[in-house]
Amino acid sequence: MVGICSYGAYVPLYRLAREIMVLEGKGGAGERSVAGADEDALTMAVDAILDCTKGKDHASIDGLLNASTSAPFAEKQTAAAVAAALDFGDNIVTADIGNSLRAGLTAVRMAADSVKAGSAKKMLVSASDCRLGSPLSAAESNSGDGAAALLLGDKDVIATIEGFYSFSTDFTDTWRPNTDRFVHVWNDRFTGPEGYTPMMQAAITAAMKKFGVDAKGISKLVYSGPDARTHGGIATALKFDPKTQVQDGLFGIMGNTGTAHSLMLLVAALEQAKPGDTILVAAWGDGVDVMLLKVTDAIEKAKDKHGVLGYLKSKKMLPSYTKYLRLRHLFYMEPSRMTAITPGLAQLWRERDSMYKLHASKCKQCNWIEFPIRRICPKCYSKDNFEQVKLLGSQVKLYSFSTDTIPTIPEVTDPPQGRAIIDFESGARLELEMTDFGNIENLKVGQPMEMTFRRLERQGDVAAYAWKCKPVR
Amino acid sequence: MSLPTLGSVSQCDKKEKEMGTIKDKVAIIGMGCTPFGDLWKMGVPDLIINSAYEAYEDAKVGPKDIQAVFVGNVSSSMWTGATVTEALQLDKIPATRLENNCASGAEALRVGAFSIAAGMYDTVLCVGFEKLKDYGSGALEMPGSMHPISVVGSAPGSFAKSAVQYFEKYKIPFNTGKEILAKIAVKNHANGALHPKAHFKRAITLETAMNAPMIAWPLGLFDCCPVTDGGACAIITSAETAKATKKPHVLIKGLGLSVGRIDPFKGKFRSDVDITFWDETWVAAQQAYQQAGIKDPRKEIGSAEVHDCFTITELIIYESLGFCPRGKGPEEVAKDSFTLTGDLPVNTDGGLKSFGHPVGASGLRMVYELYNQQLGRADKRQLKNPKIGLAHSQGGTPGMFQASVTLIGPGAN
Repeated sequence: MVGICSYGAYVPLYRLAREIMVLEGKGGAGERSVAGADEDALTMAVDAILDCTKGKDHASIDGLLNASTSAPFAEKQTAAAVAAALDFGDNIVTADIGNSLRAGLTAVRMAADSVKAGSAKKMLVSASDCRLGSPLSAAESNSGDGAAALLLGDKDVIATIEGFYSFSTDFTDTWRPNTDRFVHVWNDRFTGPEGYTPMMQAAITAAMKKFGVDAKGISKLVYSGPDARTHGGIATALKFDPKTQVQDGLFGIMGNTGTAHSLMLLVAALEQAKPGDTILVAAWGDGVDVMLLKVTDAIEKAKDKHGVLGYLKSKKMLPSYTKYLRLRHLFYMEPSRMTAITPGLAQLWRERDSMYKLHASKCKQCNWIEFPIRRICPKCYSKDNFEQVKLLGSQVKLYSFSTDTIPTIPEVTDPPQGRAIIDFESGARLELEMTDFGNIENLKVGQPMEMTFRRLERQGDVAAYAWKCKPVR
Repeated sequence: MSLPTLGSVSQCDKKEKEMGTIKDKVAIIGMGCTPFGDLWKMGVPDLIINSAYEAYEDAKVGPKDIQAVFVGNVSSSMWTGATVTEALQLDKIPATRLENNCASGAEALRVGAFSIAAGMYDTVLCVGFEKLKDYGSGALEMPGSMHPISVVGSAPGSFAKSAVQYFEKYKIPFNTGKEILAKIAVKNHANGALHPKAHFKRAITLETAMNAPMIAWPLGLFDCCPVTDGGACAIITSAETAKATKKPHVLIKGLGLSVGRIDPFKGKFRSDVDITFWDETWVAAQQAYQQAGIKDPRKEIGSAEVHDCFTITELIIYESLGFCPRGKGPEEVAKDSFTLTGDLPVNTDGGLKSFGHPVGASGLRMVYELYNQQLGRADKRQLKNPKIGLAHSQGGTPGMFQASVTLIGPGAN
């Protein structure tokens, strides 16, 4: 039976206390997650999938659907870039599903349907958002950044998919014209009472009727919503016990993560689920998608992930609202006067096996491993006599490290920029940028590190991405 | 000389044949050097003209005597051999630009010396210059198209990682390590204060060095050499000609050059590379020592001008040139072995740290100081017995260098 085989999530390291934003009277309580300066919807999708596919063979993935309303490109696929970075095979189906906050669950339905139809055995769905509310707006305060990933298949499922229900409508409560960076929000005195609240209630009620379950038969109701207050009203009206039967919306410690929100809440619910639980998931946005899940015995073996709750525990508070603005590139920074280093698109393409897939060369004659791929073995001088080996997934240790105050790069979260030399378990050593490392004085030679796919310095209108390292979270 | 006695040079292939020697074949008969610094009022032609005419006067030659020009420059491939012939109005003679990163100035002298030794020319001008300040950057540029995996970074960020590993390897507590490095900066500033052409002509205290703002942790401001403009020239001829004309001169005793093969600037590294030792410097030094017949560099070298782009670089250079065993650099620093009054003074003119580092000019600036020491013209810095002088340049970054060692000794008359 088709179901979820694995889950994963990603919450960036940084949090902004909403009281910092109170100067305009819009702050509110709690905190929201904030992506680092080198993160976006694409990079967070990679991190969530890394969490989801921990220990799994990437070559067995048949497809990836990535849902986001804040993809870095309006024209150029995020899913294909994510699939390339994660070294999925070339003959897979990739697509971006966007433009609606319910796109995450819609993508799950589409992926499940393709598994059910037999056109794919393993489908990945990622949902990732880094939405911008205009500075000091309620939308900015309410939002959070994050991503979730689900692996769907019909073998070894941790939760079977019992059914879907979908409802589509042209109700507009939030929107973003494609010429605007910021999300717009209509008056919530209208959008709640006339849109979200009655439509969510009606859809969930209709779905339960379709599935033949009632509120008592649901272990956990998981659903997205615009804010904590509006969200809370739904469960109560539908006679669910808010204390035991409802997945917390995480508005207070994470914020509304947009397209990713419903799936991140589902991941949080799965992290706490027991075999036999029934989970009803509903996602709001231009209508409602609903999915019913039944948790299997295999859930216990799948809990080796960071998940949403795990990542939420590891955090660093931003010292100021200005810092938040800088991470979102919302103010002008004088660029450093260093010569711009511009890897052209042709060069990025030529070097993709090393750059994206993180492949090293292994000499077939003497087994020497070298990164990036090198045509002539430095040990035995064999020419073009190597195989490509994957570095991603093997253990990483810190060999040496430093900071660098000279370049002022907007894509560095906590200047000065961090740099490291790392050793892979397989023997490869490389020098690269280090991110999310906190205080440099606390790092130790030999400590474990992990790889993360991040933005490099933006080159004109081209955003370049590469692997960086960070201390294990 | 056998190679791998102290270094991590096991990764160097053993060569089938030994190289020849340049010893006592080529003489330097004149040198010039502009003041180094923020030379806002001087363009590239000024750097070339001012250093070349000082060298002309010193060598008692004129533009019509110059038969060939070798030029060391890094920052732009637009600065060519023709830049020098244009500035000096040298008409239709061979002129070639050489580039070997921070060793480019030394490279102009090395290749120029070979052209003399080959008997092609009798009078050759070797020029090194760099005009860095016009770019407006506070640190050394890393120009050109890089490998995409590489980060936009600076030289201090690269060398800082050697300091971290060095402290780790020899179990040096952070503050002790910072103090050792600071002492090197204090020494070089003290020496530079005695040279009228140095970029920074002021002594600093240990406290100033240790408490300076961090540039690339753990390297602070005074652990880093500056970005500098400057030019330097040498006029060379054959040893026979120098002797016959009875001009004051020095003789080249050895020329070593070793270029690595990894390039961390392009994200490339190797797990067998030890960033606490400069392999290429060791190899270049062995080449030069072999040519000059030097068996014990600590005793036979009178003074050394070394590539102290960062204080950690100089610390590891002591070991890589064989001045002391590996890991013993800090002890020697504590004993003041390499100060002006130590047994082997290093960077008597202030080095890159205090004299400045206009990349293409530095190699020739070092030889300028050795030349002045040999001819007794070093004023307050003058050593009683300069013996053989060593100039060392090292381009690149930990993991891969272009390392050059030039040995200079007394002339024949």
